[in-house]
Amino acid sequence: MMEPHSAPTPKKYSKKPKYSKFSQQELPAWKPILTPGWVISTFTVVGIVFIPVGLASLFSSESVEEAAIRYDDKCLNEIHAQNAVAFIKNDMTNKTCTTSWTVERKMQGPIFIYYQLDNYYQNHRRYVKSRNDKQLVNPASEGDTTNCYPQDKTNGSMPIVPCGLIAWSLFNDTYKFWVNTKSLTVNKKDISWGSDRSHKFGSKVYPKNFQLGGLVGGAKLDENIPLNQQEDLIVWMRTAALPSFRKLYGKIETNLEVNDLVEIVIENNYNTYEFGGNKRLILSTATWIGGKNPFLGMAYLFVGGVSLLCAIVFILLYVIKPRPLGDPSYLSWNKNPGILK
Amino acid sequence: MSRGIPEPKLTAMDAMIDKLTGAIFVFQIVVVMVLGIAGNVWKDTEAKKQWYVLYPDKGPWYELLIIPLRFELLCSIMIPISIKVSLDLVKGLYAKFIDWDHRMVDLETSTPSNATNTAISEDLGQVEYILTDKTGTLTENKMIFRRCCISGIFYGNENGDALKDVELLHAVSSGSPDAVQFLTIMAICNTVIPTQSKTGDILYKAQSQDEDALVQAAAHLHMVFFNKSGNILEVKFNSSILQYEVLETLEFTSDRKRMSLVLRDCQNGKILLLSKGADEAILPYARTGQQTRNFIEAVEQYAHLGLRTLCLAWRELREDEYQEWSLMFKEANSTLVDREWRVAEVCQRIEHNLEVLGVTAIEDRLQDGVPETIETLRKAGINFWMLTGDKQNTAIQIALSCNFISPEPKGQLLSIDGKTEDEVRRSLERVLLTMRITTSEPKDVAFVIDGWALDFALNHYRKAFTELAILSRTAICCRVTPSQKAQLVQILKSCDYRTLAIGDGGNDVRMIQQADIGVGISGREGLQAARAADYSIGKFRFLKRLILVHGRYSYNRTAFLSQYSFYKSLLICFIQIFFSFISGVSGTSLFNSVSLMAYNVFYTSVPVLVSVLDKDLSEETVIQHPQILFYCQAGRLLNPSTFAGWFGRSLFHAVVVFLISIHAYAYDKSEMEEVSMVALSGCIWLQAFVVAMETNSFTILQHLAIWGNLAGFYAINWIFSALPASGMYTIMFRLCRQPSYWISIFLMTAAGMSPILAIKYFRYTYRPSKINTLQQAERLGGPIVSLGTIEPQPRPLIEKDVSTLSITQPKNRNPVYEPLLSDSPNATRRSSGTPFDFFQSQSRSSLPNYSRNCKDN
Repeated sequence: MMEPHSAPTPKKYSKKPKYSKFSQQELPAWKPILTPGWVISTFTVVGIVFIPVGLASLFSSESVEEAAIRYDDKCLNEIHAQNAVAFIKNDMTNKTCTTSWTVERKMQGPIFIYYQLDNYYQNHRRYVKSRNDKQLVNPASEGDTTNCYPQDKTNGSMPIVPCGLIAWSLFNDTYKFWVNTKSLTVNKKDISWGSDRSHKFGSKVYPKNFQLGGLVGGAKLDENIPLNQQEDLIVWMRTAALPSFRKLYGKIETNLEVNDLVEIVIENNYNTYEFGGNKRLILSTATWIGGKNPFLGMAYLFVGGVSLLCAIVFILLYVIKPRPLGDPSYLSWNKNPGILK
Repeated sequence: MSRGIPEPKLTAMDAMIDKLTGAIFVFQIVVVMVLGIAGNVWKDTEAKKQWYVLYPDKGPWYELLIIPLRFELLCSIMIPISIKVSLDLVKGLYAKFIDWDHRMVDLETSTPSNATNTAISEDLGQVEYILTDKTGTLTENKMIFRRCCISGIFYGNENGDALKDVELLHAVSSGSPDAVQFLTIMAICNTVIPTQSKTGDILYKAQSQDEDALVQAAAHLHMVFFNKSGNILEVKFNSSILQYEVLETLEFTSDRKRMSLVLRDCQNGKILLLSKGADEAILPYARTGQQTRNFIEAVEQYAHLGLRTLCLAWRELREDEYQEWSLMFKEANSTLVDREWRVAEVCQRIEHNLEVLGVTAIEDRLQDGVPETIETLRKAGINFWMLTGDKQNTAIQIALSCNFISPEPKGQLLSIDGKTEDEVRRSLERVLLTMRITTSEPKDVAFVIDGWALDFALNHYRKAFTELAILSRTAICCRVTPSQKAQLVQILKSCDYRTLAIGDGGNDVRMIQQADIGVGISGREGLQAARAADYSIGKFRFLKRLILVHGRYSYNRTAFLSQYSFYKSLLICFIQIFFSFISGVSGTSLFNSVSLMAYNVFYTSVPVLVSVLDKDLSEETVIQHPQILFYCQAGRLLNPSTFAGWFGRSLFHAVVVFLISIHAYAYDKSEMEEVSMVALSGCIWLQAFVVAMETNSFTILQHLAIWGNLAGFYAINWIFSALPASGMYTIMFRLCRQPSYWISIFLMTAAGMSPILAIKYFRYTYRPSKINTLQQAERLGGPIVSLGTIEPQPRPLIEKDVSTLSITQPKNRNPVYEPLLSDSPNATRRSSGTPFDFFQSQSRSSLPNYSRNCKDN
């Protein structure tokens, strides 16, 4: 008798996927959890590291000698104070002004001279875009004034080099220093970034048609000096991110001793009166952390202190209200097995 | 098989992400409008005085729009475009993990699991209702003929196997006409095609496993169906060969629930109609005068044992009757409109006056691990509905044996039935009342409904039935058609539940397509369901792993990834907004375009992509504590409040980064490009630590991606800093040489992460979520309370000894089943009309999770 069989079972061909620890999600893994030990020691370590670093930063910031002389108000006599804008816009008025300052603590050279502008929006979108980097570096792109409107061309449609609002509004106050009636040399070499001089501003690009338009913004440029040597311009064109900023004016290579009388002759040309901005002259030394800025040090002390506090609070909590980790009695379905069964 | 048009499926998570995106969009519009107005005010007041900006005195009116549009551009990064790409990538990987999973390969057929739909893995973790088919899904669909009742005589009751019943063998060998006719119908009333192998063995190709079982059984009883050539069927009975010519085949449909053959007996030229089908499709059409009580009793008894029953019947046709009918049948078959209905109607005209011969009972064993799987998934808070085409009693027995419903007194089964609309309504109301008044007693209440009553309930009392659906955690729907299955899915979906439909056959296709997630068992009934499904698996028990492991991980991972994507986009956008306040509200971007682009594409997307490997809990822990799935079902990891946390975090981090950048890099250092890179570095460092802190398990890939990405950030920026043409020429080199840069970065990291670490630690230790507690227990090696043996006891894969199954041996049946089913056949006879009347008397019942089941829609 024939023995019937059911339909053949599916052939055993291997569709089984290849095995790998990745495909099976079985890669060995480190599974840390937030144990009190880990967390408390993290906070302690942060506290222990941050407080000394904060102290060091604060100490070096405090060791910076800095003198800030606001002169935009000082350089206005009473007559002009009534109408400062008209005064500053008038080419005829005498804008020279003298101020003096006695050195209180010894300043070790090199001493950096900055000018500081407040309430000045170099980061304004209209302003910050108003430049043409190609034009600055390449003599062949002289005519390329894209993005520079409204300071792209003169009335006679000649391209302006350097074009744009940034260059046009170049800062034009100047300072001269006398220490104890002796003239002090201000080194204005190498105040800009070397990379800017070598790659961003061309050695064969000369200012052209600059400040010849109807409106005169700021400083004029010597048309015989190539752009990469116009360091004031290069410094100015590194736009600031904040509305209050300092820019390097020059360096004094000598030391200033205590009680030296420094006389400063300022050509107060730049118009900040119109928008209520301040102008300051800064003399400052520098350390490894830069100029005087206690922020980082204070912030480090604060964060370090709070971390230590956290560590202490957590230790106290751990001691006062210990709680075993992973206690299954905290699982509600173990407390109340009826609910889900 | 009529397939509906499948709609594209959207996961609950995607919907939530879309909602959050919408909220962020509104926020963005508000920010743009406020800043736009502020910008215009500033322009009209302050900017006129800032002579170096050279604003023209009078511009055209549309200049008013320029500043808002600039802010719109600036804020457009608030909605992360990268989220779509990232999500698609990780979803693809989730699907691959399912495809690759070795623990979800069916070893019997070496079929791996397959995710056809790669986009909905997260939904697996949020399933609330599982609607399951019975045959082939819960059971193996390996049919074995066990018992039969021929003309009122029961065979196979003694030893549980009719093929070994001496009385039946005797009846056959002695040529009892009823028995022979019965065997003939078993052998040929089907669409099976026999083929003869080279060795002379006969192989059967059957579409239906039931038919296969019947043909096999008939062959064992010496009625061997051995050849089918064209319309001629050849059967060998003992040593004689009988030939039949098939005249018409009246096919099986799920509505008709029977199939018939019209054939000519070549021995004597008589025309015969052979029918087999469900009892309610055969017994009402018995010849007048025939007593069908015996058969009803047999059907009841077999169903109580969980066996599948079929009634066999026949009659002789007169030549003219056949000829007349044949014409109608041909005409009906060739109609174009409503053909199915017309054919059914014509079939009806000949299928009456039948001589009922007997009842067959076929056993369909439960698959391995089904009870454990159902128990685990129910612990995970998933409600089960069984939708089957089988008889009520069969369904209840299977439901009992696979933990689907609990036996008395723990469980209670309420029945909805009735012959008329009014009866159904009253029954439905009674059940509903019972469900409503029950308090939070820990008791399983389920309801059972058949296709007839369901039809009324769905069409006329939809509201009441919907309420019942919400109240009931378990339901058994028997005798339901494919379209009713789909309708039930629709009802649950309309209550905002995530539904998963699992089935194996063509009749489940519509339900599978309708459900949020369709799972097909690539089983014996072909691949129709598996093809239509979003996921296909080899065995029902893989569903546990599919949901608890793959679904849960997918949900957790996507929850992190999506919220993180918003976090990082908001972070950089907030910094831009803050910067606008110190740049004259003019819409200046602090970051250059290269950085902004790379921020989204490289710096922040690589580390988060490896979160696809993150596992908050090990697979074993999840399987042991399936209740933890609640966090996914309830959407605890991605909802407006967790999102608010991420929103706050990005706001806080933006404040930290911005304030530290502008204060540490103030005065002489306030060069635009430098400040920009300091702020960007701060963001990158913070995000690396955020990802690290949110990662639960670090594999080598995570370390590579998180810390490698940080190194990559510097590498990329050094490259850009080396290009004279780029805006940031030399910037990164300068910064990396400055001590104050590194001091600022560490400050940002510490100030940004400390509060998060502190809060997280506090919550983790003093307000732990269940997930946290399990993590701690798992990793500290603490005592994990086992919830009993949920893991299936490994059984031999192919278990020949069927007698272990309780339903084949009523005497050894587990005593806990006793209260539900009365053991003696007498009890079943009493309740032949409404077999579960006695459940309704116990109306004081309970629903444990009423509150959990009720959702605010």
